[in-house]
Amino acid sequence: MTALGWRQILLFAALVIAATAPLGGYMARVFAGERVFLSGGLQPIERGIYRLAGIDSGSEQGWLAYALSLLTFNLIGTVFLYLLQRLQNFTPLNPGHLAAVDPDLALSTAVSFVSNTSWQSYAGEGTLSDLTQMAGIAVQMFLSAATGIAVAVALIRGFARRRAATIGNFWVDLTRTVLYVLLPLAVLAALFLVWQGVPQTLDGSVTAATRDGGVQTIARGPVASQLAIKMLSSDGGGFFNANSAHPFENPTPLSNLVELLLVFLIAAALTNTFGRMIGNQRQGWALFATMGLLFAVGVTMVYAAEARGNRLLQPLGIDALPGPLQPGGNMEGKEVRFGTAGSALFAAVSTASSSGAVNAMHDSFLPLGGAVLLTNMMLDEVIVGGVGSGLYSILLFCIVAVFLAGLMIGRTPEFIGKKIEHAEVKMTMLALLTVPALILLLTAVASVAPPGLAGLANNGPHGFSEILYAYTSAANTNGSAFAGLNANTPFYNLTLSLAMFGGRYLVIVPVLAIAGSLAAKPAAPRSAGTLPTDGGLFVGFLAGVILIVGGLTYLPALSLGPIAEHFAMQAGTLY
Amino acid sequence: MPDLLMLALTLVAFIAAGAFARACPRLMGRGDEAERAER
Repeated sequence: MTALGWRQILLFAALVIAATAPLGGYMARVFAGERVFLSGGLQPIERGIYRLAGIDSGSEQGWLAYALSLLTFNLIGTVFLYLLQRLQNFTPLNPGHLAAVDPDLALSTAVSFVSNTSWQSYAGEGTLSDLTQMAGIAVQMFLSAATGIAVAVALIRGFARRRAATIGNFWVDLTRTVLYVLLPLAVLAALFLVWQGVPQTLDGSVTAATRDGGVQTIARGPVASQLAIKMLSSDGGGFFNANSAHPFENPTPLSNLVELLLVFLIAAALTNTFGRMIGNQRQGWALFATMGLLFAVGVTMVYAAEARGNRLLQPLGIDALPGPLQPGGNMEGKEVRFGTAGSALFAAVSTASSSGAVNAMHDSFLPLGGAVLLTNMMLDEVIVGGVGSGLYSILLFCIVAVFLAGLMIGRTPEFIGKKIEHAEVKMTMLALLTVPALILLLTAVASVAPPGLAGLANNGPHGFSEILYAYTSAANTNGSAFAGLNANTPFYNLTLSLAMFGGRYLVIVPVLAIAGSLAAKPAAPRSAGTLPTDGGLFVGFLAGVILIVGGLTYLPALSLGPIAEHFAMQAGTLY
Repeated sequence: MPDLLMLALTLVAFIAAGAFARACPRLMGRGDEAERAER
């Protein structure tokens, strides 16, 4: 590890901390329906959308109506994106004359982007037309992010309200999130990325003569506009197959830093929004600190593993020490311009959030580095997490934490002035168990079924890690991949669609049910016996609960994959 | 034909999620306070 590497990591952390309160405060005003500095320009558009869609912005919904509105909206989005891919050979803006996407791949892609997962079993530049990228993928990046944020805001209202029958209006939350939060930030980010050298054109690819006399086709397209929302929405699906390792998708060190910042920006700021909306900013900072603590441990472990390099290469005379001409460490699958620190930081951010964007190939990380990336995702994306989904997931763990604390001291658990009773605990456990059940069952099936094994490029524990990573990434709406697994087969496209669908909607529904149940409750007055949840003790306790629940659930699977591979590597065997 | 199958799968999945949402109140029960009041 080098001082320069640590400076990159600390600069990134400082920028996230600095942006959290201002953006969190802005979003709190947006979700409270207050005027913000953009209201003058955007309010007429907002009112026009309500009028066109027949939405009564003054009325609110109970949790069930909110959930059914969300499901209906996402169903329409999935069908639309599916049809757009299947008909792209007939639609305009297809300069590469690309064929219609195969049915199973179109379904996987549609579910993937509507659920904010962005798992891609295809290479974007060779599969999707410009129209599909812009009107399908990019639009769903906005809408899926707004859906996640809407659910988080509904849950916050559940905690904040007393004896209320409603938790907000899904259509209003969706519209205000897109108009006031995502669009302005995406426009600024796209302009910045164009300045850094990211292409934004509808002219299609260009051909270039190479130095050895050959001809190279260089793919281009409306990259900057899609890249901005790709990072901001924590969606992560790349315009190009190489994602943010591609020089057109991440051209400079500054674009790398800003892309990282965009990934964490909204999800981190939502902790502050939460604190403001419940009237206790310290509570928001407690959640932020828990996320920060887990992130710091993860990024340190990945960086340490990658900077150490592969010791088996030393006898071959390969110099892996850092020096003026090389970053050192394990550089397999990494961009020289990002080095080990820049790649480790990006990978940790990408898997801690639900982004899934990559600037290095995770399959080439050393086993312990890969184990941390897997673990980041397995902890239900609570380490900052996806936009909205990160906040509601860590709030689920807060419910588990106060429940366990209540069991220890024999009191009815309370959290932020609400009694946590069996209804909330049941729904919390349902949401938290659905994801591991999907991951472990589907990984088990794919590990023994011939169509599952057919997609593997590696055997042994590394091959198992590739399968485990795919379902972990899909069910936690991350979308990054261990390369090496050919997932573009009917078996993987359909089973990954199931994982993505279940991992998204079978969590959102219980979360909204909890929101409705909490909103209907009266306030539980704070007493001397109330567990303080906005201090250091609770931060440590919550982090412990997250790690123990995640550890108990996934340790056997991790032992069969990256941990076994690490010990095999120590013994001189590589997979 | 494959398109109809894929769209049918999508529809079934979302209908199942909607049915799950409708079943949640029954799964949750009526809350401790309501049950205490009944007793």
